[in-house]
Amino acid sequence: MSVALQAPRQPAALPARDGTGLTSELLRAFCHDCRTPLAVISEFASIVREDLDPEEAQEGIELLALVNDRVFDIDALLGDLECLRGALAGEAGEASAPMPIARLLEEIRLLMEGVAARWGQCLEVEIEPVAAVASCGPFPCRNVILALLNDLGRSAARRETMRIRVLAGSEAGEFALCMWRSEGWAVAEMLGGGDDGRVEPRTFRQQFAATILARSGGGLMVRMRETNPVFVVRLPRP
Amino acid sequence: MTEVRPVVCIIVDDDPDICRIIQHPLRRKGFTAIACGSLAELEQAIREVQPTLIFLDAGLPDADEADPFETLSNAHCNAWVQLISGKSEVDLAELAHVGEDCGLRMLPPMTKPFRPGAIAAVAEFASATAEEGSP
Repeated sequence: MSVALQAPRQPAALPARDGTGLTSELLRAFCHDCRTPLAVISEFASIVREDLDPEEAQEGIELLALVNDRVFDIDALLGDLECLRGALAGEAGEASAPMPIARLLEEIRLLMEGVAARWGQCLEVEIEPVAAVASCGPFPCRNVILALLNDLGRSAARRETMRIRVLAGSEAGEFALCMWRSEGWAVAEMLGGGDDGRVEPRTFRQQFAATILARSGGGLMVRMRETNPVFVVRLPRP
Repeated sequence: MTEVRPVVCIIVDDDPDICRIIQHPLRRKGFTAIACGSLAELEQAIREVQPTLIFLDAGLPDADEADPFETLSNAHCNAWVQLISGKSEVDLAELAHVGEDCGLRMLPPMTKPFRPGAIAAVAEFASATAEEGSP
């Protein structure tokens, strides 16, 4: 008896990759693949921490808590990368309806306090009445504020205060959201037109914020005094 | 006397380390925790046990994202389904809706890395519902 062998069914041809580099799908997959090892690291740290005696291993417990904090710092960076990817790809969210800046800051207050706490910081928010009604799209503002808070926190000494102040901008129809640490920056210095201490955005988070803000018709100005930066987020009022 | 059913959890993830770190807190609570690395292993497991809770990774190597929902739905699975993934919250929320549309009892999705204590909290919830006789 002869047996007719059937050729195995061929899978459908995959679309050829064009080799244009950092595609949206590639970045999405990268973020996804990074989060699994992060989960393993943070859960392992938690498991070890639970087994330590708080009376005898206080320092070990604190160090393992730092492992968790840093894991979520990387996770936040990946979130920023995904946000940037979505914005550059023109995905939904960018065009979300504007809301008053005071309301937006209230809505993300817990998130902001969480970021501050992770870096061992206090948080103070002050909004000038004239600027409180200014509106902005929640999508760029929310992500930009959280990213810049993380950027402020990463180089801060413990138990400082991170400050956010919303002011009417120097130009009509504009408002400015200033973020800095501790004392040392006066309003005139932050909003002044000169180039004193002005530097280009350097870190990923600063460049992320600058890119997102530029797409919203705003901008980011970074000033530096020794190691103490101030971020001035300028946004047009819709 | 009311018979207390043991809480059985299935963890479905192709990364064995993820399965291990989820199994750890579950076993500490006295639950039975079964690890599956693929859709085929999940199919086998639900033929053998009635789980109370399933931790389901959204990207299995031998399946499309919605395939496990179909498998669980066809098996009339009444377990809570906890999606876990490294995808963004938005993507994962959309996938959870697909699970609900299949008639599954979906818990709010959980993104990797997990918040401290999140696995134990889900297990507590599953344990409580098991004691109430549901599912």
